Formats: sequence, structure tokens, C-alpha cells
Amino acid sequence: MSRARRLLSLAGLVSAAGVMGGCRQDMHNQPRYKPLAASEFFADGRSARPVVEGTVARGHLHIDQARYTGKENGEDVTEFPFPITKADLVRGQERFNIYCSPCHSRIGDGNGMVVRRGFRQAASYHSEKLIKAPVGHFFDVMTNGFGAMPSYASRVEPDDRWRIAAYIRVLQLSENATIEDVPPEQRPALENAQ
Amino acid sequence: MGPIVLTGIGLAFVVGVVSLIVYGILTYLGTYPFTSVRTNPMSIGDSQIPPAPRIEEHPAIEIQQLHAQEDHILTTYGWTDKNKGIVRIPIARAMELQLERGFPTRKEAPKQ
Repeated sequence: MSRARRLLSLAGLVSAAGVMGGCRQDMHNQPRYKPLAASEFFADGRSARPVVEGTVARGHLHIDQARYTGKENGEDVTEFPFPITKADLVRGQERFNIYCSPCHSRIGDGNGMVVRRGFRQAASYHSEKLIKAPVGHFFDVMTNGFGAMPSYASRVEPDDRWRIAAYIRVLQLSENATIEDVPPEQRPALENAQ
Repeated sequence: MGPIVLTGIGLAFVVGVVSLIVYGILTYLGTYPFTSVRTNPMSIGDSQIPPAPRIEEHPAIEIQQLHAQEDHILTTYGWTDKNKGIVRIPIARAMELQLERGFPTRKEAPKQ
């Protein structure tokens, strides 16, 4: 074998090895769909598969109907789903002043700054109707909106909605109390006031 | 006489003549009776005030005033309706009272 022929066969071997390397499948080729690409494999022609019916995201299993809808058997509930503490009221007051007071005002008479600037009159919590309304009604309105009011479900967590409802009850009491609710030392000043 | 003096005399003469003319015009116009201020023909009469709500001139002050009113109501005792004996109490007092009286709560423990 001449030197030239030996070199030539070596070059042939090297290039053959290179080409053979391309024949390996292993994990070099990874068949996949691009997002939202069409598929002939599935009957509906979609490569992206819909979630199985009845799938629940973590932390979103809401089987407590009264707690998450404010209704039971289609009726507004009259009781809170959990005991209301001082901390709940403070939290409710804070959330109320953030989300509700622009329209309903911080005293709940429906004359917030947005209303003063020309928006539709908001409901007053001190009306006969809303004083008698069951607490589930407030939860339902916050969840689904009412009239011109949009839903606040995406902005206020369900338990915070109950806390706001509790604070609305406090607002109602603050405007609708009796003389027995006033400490004795405050009464003389009140008697003379208008 | 030099040219500078001649120019000065000329200027003084012209100033005198112009003063006389202006005095004459003002005296003549002074005899016209004072009628009314003529408005610009392009204007549409009295300045129009748009209906409320108008542009906020001082938003920060307006919200402060509203908050001051609300704070007064939320922190003092007063009458909602004196004839019916309905009293307004501060919000902190109302919280205490409502917590004492309790909120209606269902027996069942909250579920998921």
C-alpha cells in the first residue's frame, strides 16, 4: 500500500465515523409539539390537552358552599361561617377603607369621593333594607357585584369578604345605637347636642 | 445759528403741534356719553360655568376635607335622630359593643 492510498483510506474511515454518528437516535431527536400546534393524533385536532373534568387547583377546593358563595340552598345565609374576632374586625375595617370607601364612603352612607365626583350613587348601609339584610347578602354582592358595582372576587379574598361584612355590621350599629350604648360620662354632652 | 440749535427748535415746535392735536381729540371724545362696554363679537355673552362636577383644583385638599368630616363622624358621639332616640357612637365603641353582643356564627366549623 502506497502512502497516498493509506492516507486516503484513513480519511475515508474518519468521515464514515462522522456520518455514522448522525445515525444515533438515543435522545438526540426529541419529538414534541410546539405550543398550540395542530395534532393528527388526537380526535379534536389539538396537541394541547384540556384539563380533566373536575380538576381542582391546589387550595381552590370550595365545597363549603355557605363560606364561598354566601348562599345555602339559594338563600343568603344569616350567620358568619367562622367566629369574628377583634383582629377580624380590624382587618375588615382596613379592607373596607381600601376597596369600599371610594364609593360607599368611610361612614358607609354611599357618598364616597367617587360618587361626589359624578359617579352613580352607591347604596347606604344605614337604609332600612340593608340593616335588615342577611349577612350573606353583603358577601354575595362583593362576590358577584350589584347594579353598577363590579365583582370584587378577584381583589378581596373570600374570608376578607366576611370580615368586611362584619365591619359593615359595626358601621350600621355605630349610626343606629341607643342612649344605653353611650357611656354615662358622655351622656350630658349628648343631651345638649343637636 | 448752528444746525443743532435749529433742529432743537424744529423738534420743540413739532412736539407743541402734536400736543395741541392730541388735546383737541381727547376733548372732543370726552363729550361722547359713556354707554356700555362693547363685548367682543366673538364672545357668547356671560361666561359659562359647566355643570358640576368640575375639574378638581386641589384633589389632595378635597379628600382631606372629606376625611376630616368622616373622621369626625367616626370618632364622636351624636344624634342620628334625636326625636326617635337614635344615637351615633364612635366606630371603636361600636366594635367593642358588637364584639360583646357577638356576631351570629354557625355551629359547624369552616370547611375547605
